[in-house]
Amino acid sequence: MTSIDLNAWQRLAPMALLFLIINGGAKFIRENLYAFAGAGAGFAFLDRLGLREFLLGGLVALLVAVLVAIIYHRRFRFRIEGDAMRVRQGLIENKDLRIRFARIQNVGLSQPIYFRPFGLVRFTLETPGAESTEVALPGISRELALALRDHIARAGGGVAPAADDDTGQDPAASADDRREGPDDSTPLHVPGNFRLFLHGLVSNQVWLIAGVAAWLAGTFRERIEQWVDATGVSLVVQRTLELGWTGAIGLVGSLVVLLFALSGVLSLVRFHGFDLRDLGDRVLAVGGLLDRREQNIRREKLTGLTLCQTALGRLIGQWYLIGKQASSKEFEMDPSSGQFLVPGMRRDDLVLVGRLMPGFVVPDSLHPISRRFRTLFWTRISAVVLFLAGLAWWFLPDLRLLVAAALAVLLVVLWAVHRSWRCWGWRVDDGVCWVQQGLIGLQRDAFDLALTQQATVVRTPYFRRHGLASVRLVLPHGQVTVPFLAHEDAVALANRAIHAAETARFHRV
Amino acid sequence: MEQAGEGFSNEQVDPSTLPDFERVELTPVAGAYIHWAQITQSAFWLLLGVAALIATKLPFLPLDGLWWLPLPPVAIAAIASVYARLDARFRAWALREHDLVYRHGVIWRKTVIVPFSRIQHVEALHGPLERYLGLMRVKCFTAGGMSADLTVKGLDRDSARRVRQYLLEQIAETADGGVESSVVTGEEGPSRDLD
Repeated sequence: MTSIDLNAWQRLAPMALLFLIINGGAKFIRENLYAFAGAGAGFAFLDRLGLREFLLGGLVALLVAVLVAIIYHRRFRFRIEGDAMRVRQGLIENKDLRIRFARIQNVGLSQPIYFRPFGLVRFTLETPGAESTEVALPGISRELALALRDHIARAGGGVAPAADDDTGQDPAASADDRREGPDDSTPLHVPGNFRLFLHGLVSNQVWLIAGVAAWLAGTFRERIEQWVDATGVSLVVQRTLELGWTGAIGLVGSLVVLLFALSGVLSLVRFHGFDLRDLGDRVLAVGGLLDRREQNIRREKLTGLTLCQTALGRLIGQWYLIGKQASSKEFEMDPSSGQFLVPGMRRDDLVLVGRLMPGFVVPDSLHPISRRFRTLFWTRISAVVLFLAGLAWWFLPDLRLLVAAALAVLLVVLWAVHRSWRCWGWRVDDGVCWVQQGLIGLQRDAFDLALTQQATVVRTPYFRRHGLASVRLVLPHGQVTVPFLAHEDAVALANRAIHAAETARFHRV
Repeated sequence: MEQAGEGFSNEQVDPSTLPDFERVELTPVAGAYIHWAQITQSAFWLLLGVAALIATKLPFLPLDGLWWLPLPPVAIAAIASVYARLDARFRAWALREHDLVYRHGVIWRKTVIVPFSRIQHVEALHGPLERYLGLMRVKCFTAGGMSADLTVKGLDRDSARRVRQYLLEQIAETADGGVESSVVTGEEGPSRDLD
């Protein structure tokens, strides 16, 4: 392997230009798909447009995209400067970014399938303060990416830089030294393809797919109908429906099975060959079929974790884990996107929690929250529904069947309240706080109390009457609330969290 | 919980021996805060009421008989004013050796505790009305998103400056390891050098 001078300005690989054009086009389509497909206006416009105008417009758009990509590619430079990485980029305005290694919490390498023949990778850096990826080098050689990754790990990741100091070498100049490979790492979790497929079945991704499919079916209804007629699928559907209820139920069942199978396959593609390894001060997660991704996470930058078990996951005893890191993001559309996610865990794999976050042990039992949670929602919801149902029963005798249906729904809602109360739980063990919530599925948040940024004790008039309080703890990765605690428990939890934060030796944010 | 390493200890802590934030004697906000809260919370509704009154008097608007039109906004202004008074009564703050305690809220009463070692930076700010009334706000920024920032309202100007100075000193002390804690507190985000 040749030595790379990381102190010198580096550029993106020439082939990255092609990928910038493709990615730019894909991004443009992604961002404008809704506008294009909305109410069929885009198709109507296209139908009125002639082929010549369409090709001409496409050619102009392509020329603009190429020009933009060339300028972006030419201006993009990066290098190592002492204890930081510096990146210069920009199209209209120049952006000069300098990120100290100590602030970097993730180093990511990804290799889409079309990068592989050219030996290129996409290199990303993430910091706690940024809303999105702080640095993305879209297309550099794998050798350069590994050199950067290892240099950042040595300089900022806790591996003692003293060795470099002793030899008097410039750390940037010796990027090939002490490169970690699979040999000096310990495997933590290798779930296998079957479990990854199951992860797709039990994750909530299937509902997302169903939602997108419903939206597409609504938006492109006419075109889908044309396609269905042309391929003869409509004939099969018609024949099946002629079988009556059995046929209809079979058809719906097949659709559901298809959705679940699709979700399983997508999960398999996303996590294919998933391998989680312990590199001492860091953990390394590698996986992906079409886009091989490598997440290199500094262990000290993990601020907590969430263990999730969906309703279907509970049926087959499968969990997944999300590692939490400091973030300025307030809301996330898809909580699993881009996060450190460990799929396909069985009960036996829960020991992984302690191996990822030393000192964290999944508790066997949790303290329940007050029964008043259930009482409050039961009484308030029932009172409103019964009052309205009584009025409807009295004044609208024609709708009594509807009233009876509403009362049946009320029973389901009351059961859901009961389930929610049963799912809530909390516990503090050795300074680690566990908070569980859920309805049919379960979500367990775990975090070190010493990372508490602030603690809030909330008391409503109802809480004051019944000696209750809620505690809200702000953590570097977000907030966790424990509602309906006995007042003394809430105060004790807040006191403990604040004491842990004030006596912590390190503040890892 | 501490990462495995040098100086790691894991002794049991008796929760009853921990400092209790509920025993802290809180300092009420400055008296002028009531006026500030009443003005800011009811001004909009009062202006709306005046606008409605003027509108009923204009000859070219068909609002004859709607003499009661200004009443709803004025009633809301009155309620907002009473609410502001209650809010000022419950709003209070205190400084302890290692944290800031702030209580606020009328219906949802909240007590917030922010350790100095978790504050990243502090701002003291005041608007024109606050300047006129001699008030100042102190805003403490912590990690965990925008909702994690705490604004202490209703301090008189001298108190606010003293609190800000005290917080800055405490942050510097904890960042230097003056207390038992903190290596990277007080750091800002990634440095950016824009051309």
